[in-house]
Amino acid sequence: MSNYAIITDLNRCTGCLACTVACKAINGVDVGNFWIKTLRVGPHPTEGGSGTFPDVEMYFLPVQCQHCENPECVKVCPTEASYVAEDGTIQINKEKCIGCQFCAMACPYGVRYLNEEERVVEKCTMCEQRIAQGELPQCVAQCGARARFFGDLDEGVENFEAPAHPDTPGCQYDEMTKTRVKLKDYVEAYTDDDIHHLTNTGNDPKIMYLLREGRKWRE
Amino acid sequence: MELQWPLILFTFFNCLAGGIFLMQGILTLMGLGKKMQLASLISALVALGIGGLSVFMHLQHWERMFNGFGHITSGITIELIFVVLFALALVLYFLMMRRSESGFAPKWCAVVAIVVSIALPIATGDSYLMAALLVWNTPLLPAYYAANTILLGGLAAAIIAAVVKVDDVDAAGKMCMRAAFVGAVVTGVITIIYAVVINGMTDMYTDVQYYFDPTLPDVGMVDVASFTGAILSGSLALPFWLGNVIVGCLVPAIISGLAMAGKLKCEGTKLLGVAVVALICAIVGSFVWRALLYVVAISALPFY
Repeated sequence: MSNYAIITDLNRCTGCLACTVACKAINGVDVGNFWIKTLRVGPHPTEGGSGTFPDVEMYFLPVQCQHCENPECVKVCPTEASYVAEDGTIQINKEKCIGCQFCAMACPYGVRYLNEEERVVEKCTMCEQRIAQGELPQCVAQCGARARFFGDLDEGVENFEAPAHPDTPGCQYDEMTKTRVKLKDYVEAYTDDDIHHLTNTGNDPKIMYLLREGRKWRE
Repeated sequence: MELQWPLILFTFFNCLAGGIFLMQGILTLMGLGKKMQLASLISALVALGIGGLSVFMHLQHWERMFNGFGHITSGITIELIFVVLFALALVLYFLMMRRSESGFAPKWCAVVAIVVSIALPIATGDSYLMAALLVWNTPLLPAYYAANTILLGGLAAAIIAAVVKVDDVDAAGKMCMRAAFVGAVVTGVITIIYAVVINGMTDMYTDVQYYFDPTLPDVGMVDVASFTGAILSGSLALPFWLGNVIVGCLVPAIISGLAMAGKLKCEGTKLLGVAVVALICAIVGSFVWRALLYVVAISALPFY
């Protein structure tokens, strides 16, 4: 049993949308739909600043299925098509889905949508086809700023992993994807108070966001 | 959220079916409306059937509908169970009515009819309670459906009583109008309170003040207040006050109030005409309020 999740270091995220695009490419997400979107939050005036540029701060916020501990989508699903997988992720069995879309209504984050072609609901699977083989979710593997880390919450968020830095001389793509760095060894220092979650309406989202002093988490 | 007409029709016909059977139960308890029993049962069954067909239109894979019993505690499954119980109660009432020497179904059958008829709209409303959709996630929603059931049922039963020309049309008609009056007043009060509650929900949504979605560069930020404030005094105030409150509740309340006070004759074609006008108004209000609840339904994190 695992309890997989992703953490994004928002102080590192540059809003390049690589996660958004990589997700669409590998999962065949239809035009106009997204399994992960990257929003820009801000700019807002910094506290105690002049109120104008350059005393402003902002961050980019990748929003996807939050693979919640108490998922409302699973509770409302009449067919158990939406379910909590053994690895702790929330998955959809498309064979069972009747397309009632109550899960999409019950999701506080609006990250589920109806696939018009298959007439079933879809959303981020945390790339279960990849993580089942020990690979990283594509949004983590392709993160342009090495801001996203994936791992098992039971082993501690500090042990979440991302691909190793690609600037090693002679490092090839295959080698790079097999070499990992841990969150604790790679990103700037943080405390537990720097780890944030999206709005919790009782669903206890598991996806985490790291935002340190100097930038204000907004919700 | 976009209007989900199949669901709007489903909840409407559920309330109509429940209302008709509810009124028949009340009339039977009072020893009224013997001649209209079969017509009431058929009307309720037809309404339930139309509601069921409507909800089929919502399902993208209706051929898999029997999967719908897979998760017994989900709101939809519970709703489905109450629909089945309602249908069984209709059949039971019919059988007991046919067996009865008096021609009336026994009193306990009437009590069953009342219980399942009120339980159905409450279960329907309960299935829509979701923490993510703040404007739906309130006991006011099932309370509205219950009140709406009484309103629609009172007027529909009055029409049935007039059409089948029940022997005690005056008393039965007055009883129906009394229920319709209560339903109209309670529906109106609940929807006004509901609108006020929604108006006060603005601060409950995630607010990051200023944001930008690069995948929708030409779409503005979601203004939560324009949704939460729309019904009471914003862009949807006209359909709310005119369509729901005045046409949907006040007019039926006045008509049914005058009828039950004896100011309008509750006999034969007069009862029919009065009840038809009031029911049309109530239907308009019922659809307007349901549609408004969809228009203002946005997620707790409203900017994905």
